[in-house]
Amino acid sequence: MKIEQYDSSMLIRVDPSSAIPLFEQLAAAVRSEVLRQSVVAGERLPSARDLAESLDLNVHTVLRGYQLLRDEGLIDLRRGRGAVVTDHARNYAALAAVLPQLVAEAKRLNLSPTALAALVREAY
Amino acid sequence: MPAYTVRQRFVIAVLGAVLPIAIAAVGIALVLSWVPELPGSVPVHWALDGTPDRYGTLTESVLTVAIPVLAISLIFTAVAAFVRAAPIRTYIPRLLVATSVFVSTLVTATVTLSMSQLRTADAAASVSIVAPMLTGLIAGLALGALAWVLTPRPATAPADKREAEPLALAPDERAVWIRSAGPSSVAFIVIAAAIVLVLAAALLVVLSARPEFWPVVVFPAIIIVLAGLNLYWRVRIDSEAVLLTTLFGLVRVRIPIAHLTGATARTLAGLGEFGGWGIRIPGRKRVGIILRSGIALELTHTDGRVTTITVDDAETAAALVNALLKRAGSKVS
Repeated sequence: MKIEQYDSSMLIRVDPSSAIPLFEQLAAAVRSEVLRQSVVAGERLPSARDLAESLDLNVHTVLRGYQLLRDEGLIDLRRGRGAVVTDHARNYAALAAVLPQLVAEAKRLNLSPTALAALVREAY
Repeated sequence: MPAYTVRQRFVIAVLGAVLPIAIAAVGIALVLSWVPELPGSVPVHWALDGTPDRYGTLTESVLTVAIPVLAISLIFTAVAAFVRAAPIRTYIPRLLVATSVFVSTLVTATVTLSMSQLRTADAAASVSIVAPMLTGLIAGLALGALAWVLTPRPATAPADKREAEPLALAPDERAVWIRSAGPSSVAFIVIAAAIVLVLAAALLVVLSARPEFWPVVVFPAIIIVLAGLNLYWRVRIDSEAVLLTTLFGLVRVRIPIAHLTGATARTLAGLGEFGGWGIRIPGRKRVGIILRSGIALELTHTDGRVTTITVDDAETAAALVNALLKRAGSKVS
């Protein structure tokens, strides 16, 4: 039995020496856990305070990352309930299916992650 | 892999079940042979000073021996005989067999000796339970210790370890892994059934207006609550420590990464290796938070102790711990 919506599993990594802002790294880490289906619709993410403490970040940084995800519709932020993953997470299935293909194809062409990212950005 | 051969299981069955049941059977046979000399009602409950405070039929007295002995010897022996081979030898089978023999000797000797006194006593009220119980205790400890020594030692097996390759962590990268750990649905059904039983008992006590039976409801209820709190944990691994917390944070175990030498993920059999669920101490230098069978995270401490917790995706957890250790090691050197 899973005690109600408690059972999310998260591996979150942030690198302060990276050029990408910490809150964006945090949001990206959550997205990749959604993609991996480590966390699914209805499950609760760790509290902002918990994450801030364990990643040695400012609570506001974590909240900013969560707000980014809320604006995408991936999570719901409610006082007292914390951050809960919405049904929007299910829409990641198609992306999860094509992403490995995309990466494999880029590797075949000897493209670096940055080069692939640039191509994706162009295509937007 | 089972820890015992068929032959060894036979020895365990004889020690843990046949012997205790035989002891109880001999005691009951003796008591029944004294029926003509015994009064119609016999003491079945005693006050703290050892004098009888409740009387009942001889059948009731015999059942207080037969039921616990049968239940304990059969269940304990079955669990002991089918223990799985673990990487580190467990004392659980010996403890179970010894306990079975101890309980049987204690209750049989206590009841049989007090009935024997009753044959010659003038008044049932003058018969104290203290001497029979002390005799039973000493005999039980002696026979239990003997059973402990005679119980075959379980075989060990190499661990089904999945060596966790450290995650690639950048020098400044921070990482956290958070996961809740709980029992399987079977445990949930058992707990639900226990709650129904306790509620039924509470209803019976209310309906029968016998307040003296409230302990029958209260103690199991306390045990269920404690078991429930003990069965839901949360695991958090960050750069500093592994943090294990129960529901509502009642129990917190913090293991600094610096106190660890490595982590692995391996599969385990909850009942077979650890003899049960919850916080288990199956041997020296071993602690397990065992909530189900299956994949578990195993942490080795610098002093050789091993902490095990059953949690899904333990491979990732172990990979993170190993990455943190590797990074800490490269910083030092």
